[in-house]
Amino acid sequence: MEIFDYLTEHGHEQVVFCYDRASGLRAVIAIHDTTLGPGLGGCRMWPYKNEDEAILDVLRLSEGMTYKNSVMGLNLGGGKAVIIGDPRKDKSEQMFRAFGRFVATLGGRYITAEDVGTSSADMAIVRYETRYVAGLPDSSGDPSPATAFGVFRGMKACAKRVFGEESLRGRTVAIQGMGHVGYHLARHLHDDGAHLIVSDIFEDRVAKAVTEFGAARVDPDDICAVECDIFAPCALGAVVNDDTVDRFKCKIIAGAANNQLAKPAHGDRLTERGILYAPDFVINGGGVINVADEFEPGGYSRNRAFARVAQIYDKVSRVFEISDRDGIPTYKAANVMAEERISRLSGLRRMYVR
Amino acid sequence: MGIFDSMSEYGHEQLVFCHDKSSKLKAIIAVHDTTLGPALGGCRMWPYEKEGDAIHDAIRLSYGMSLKSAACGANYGGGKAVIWGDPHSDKSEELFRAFGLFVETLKGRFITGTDVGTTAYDFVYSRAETRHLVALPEEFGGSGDSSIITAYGVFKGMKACSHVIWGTDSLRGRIIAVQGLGKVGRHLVRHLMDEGAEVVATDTSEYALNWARESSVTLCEPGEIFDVPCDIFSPNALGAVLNPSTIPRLKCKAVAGAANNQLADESDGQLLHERGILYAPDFVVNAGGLIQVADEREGFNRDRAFRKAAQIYHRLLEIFDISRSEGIPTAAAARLMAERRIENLGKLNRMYLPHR
Repeated sequence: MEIFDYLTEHGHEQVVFCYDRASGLRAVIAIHDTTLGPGLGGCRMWPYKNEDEAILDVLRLSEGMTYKNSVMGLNLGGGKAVIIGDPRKDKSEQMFRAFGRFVATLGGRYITAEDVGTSSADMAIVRYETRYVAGLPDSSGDPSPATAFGVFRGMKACAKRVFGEESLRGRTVAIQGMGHVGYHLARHLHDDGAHLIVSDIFEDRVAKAVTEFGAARVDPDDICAVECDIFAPCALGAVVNDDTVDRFKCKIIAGAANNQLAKPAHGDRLTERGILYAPDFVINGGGVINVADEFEPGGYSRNRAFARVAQIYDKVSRVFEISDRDGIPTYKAANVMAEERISRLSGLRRMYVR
Repeated sequence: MGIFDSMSEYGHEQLVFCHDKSSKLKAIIAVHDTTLGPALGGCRMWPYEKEGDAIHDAIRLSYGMSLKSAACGANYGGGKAVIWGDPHSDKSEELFRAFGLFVETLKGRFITGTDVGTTAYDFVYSRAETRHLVALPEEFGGSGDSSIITAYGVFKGMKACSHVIWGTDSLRGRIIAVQGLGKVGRHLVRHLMDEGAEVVATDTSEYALNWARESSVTLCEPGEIFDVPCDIFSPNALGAVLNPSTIPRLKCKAVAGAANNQLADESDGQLLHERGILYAPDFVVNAGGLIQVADEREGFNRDRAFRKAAQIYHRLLEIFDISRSEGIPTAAAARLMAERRIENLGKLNRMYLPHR
């Protein structure tokens, strides 16, 4: 692929190819935009079919991180790394230390973290070579509770807009996916008095939700078409697609999954159908807020991190304001919100400060 | 070929694509090997036809810098930067400032300066963003024109050839055929004439030819330089001058000159070897410029730099020894010497030192 064509079109700053003979490490670090601060984004490990697939993934994901970090109000830009390899058999201490050393070569312009295919234990190895790594085992830990709490707060902002009150008492919420995030979200909703309908491809996860929260169960194939107030996708991406977009029987879509819209047009269709969509990268930003807190002076504070995550309520509300102001669908409004903050703050560094 | 395939073929550590929206900078920084120290290499600006050409150039040239640096005893690794653009129409202050910023992102792992398509003054702009620069104009702390030391290194290299072939360092009475009377070529000819050698030279520029006439240098037509019966042939102009059509024509005992990439192909080193012509590998004999800019990093001292450049003599003797004992062409021997130095010094890094 033509790398500079892509960088020119999407505005990336830097793409770093890293190769280590001894460990066989092949990694690509992409830094999209550092107007707000160092690029923060996880390191994905995946057996990409070819090099171009890996490059495209890291370019796309790093751009997404710029938007997410901006909307979350973090002083962080967008970055991402990918390691080409099979996480089940290609991992080694040497590989993650070599990766850490390459992160170190950028002197803090890129901060890495765990992602699909990597674990906090892998990041603990990366930490031997660089301090520019977040999500370590004994620090902010598992980001799922923070992500779930952020989604819960974002749902309340949606409820306020659609139903006029933020309480979810008596509302019916259908949750797709009972993994870590889905489970914690179910707990918050249950505590708030919501009725739950859940699905998962693993039966034991569903059973747990039924027992603990009195949730109703549905088949994974039917969850999208279930009658409910709020549909919460917390599993796969591209859940809003050609097949599902006209089947939803909800008033709100608000969940933790990444890349929920298969195509932008599906976001337009939701607007036409009168379904309020909470943009994924806004409502699921709790995890990145939590991990970014490790870089506060004095280190990670759970109270501070969760206080910030609670503000996802305001972030989501702001998206709706911009949507009204500009007469655009919410998914577009979220991008505008991210871009506005970057362009407002980009002028600050013009002023000379010794 | 994929980027990682090229990197693993040459053993590169890092390839950095740099893009700046406002100045439209498109640059690639290649860091080949930093076992010996930070990667050092110039920044070329060229209107490459396609991206792949720019990548290939950065990869190839940075690898060459690792070899050159290792062979001449410098404590630097190999790197190179290429700016994809037309040096006649695309230069601007913003462009070189943005480039400087990207050099700064590597925090001194890569040190750069002028090369084909850029001038020392371009990097005065970059200097506002990074201090990891060499070969700036003298008034900005650079060491100045490097052609003098390059010529001096080539002259010392010729003496090493003479030592091996004729058992004497003196070039008195030897016939030297010099191709190219650019800055380096002219300084070289002065050394040779001072030593009492006979020079036959060629060039195409009127300025160089006038200089030659005033200096009583014997001239020949550019096309005839390969046929001049001589002791040493010295290419100081174009690359790829040693190829299957020129090598059979050479009537010399040795080849030693400042031009880059003199061998059109690796096999041409073998061809020279078989003809019994002693070839002083280009990247060793023309390392004077690198030695000078590397010396800038220690606070430039001209005498010290020239003493280091004089060591090219000993480096070549070592290479000729390896060539003899291993029965391989001198270019291959030079590469072997460079690789061994990187390998052996790399092992030193294993030892832990606190506070380093």
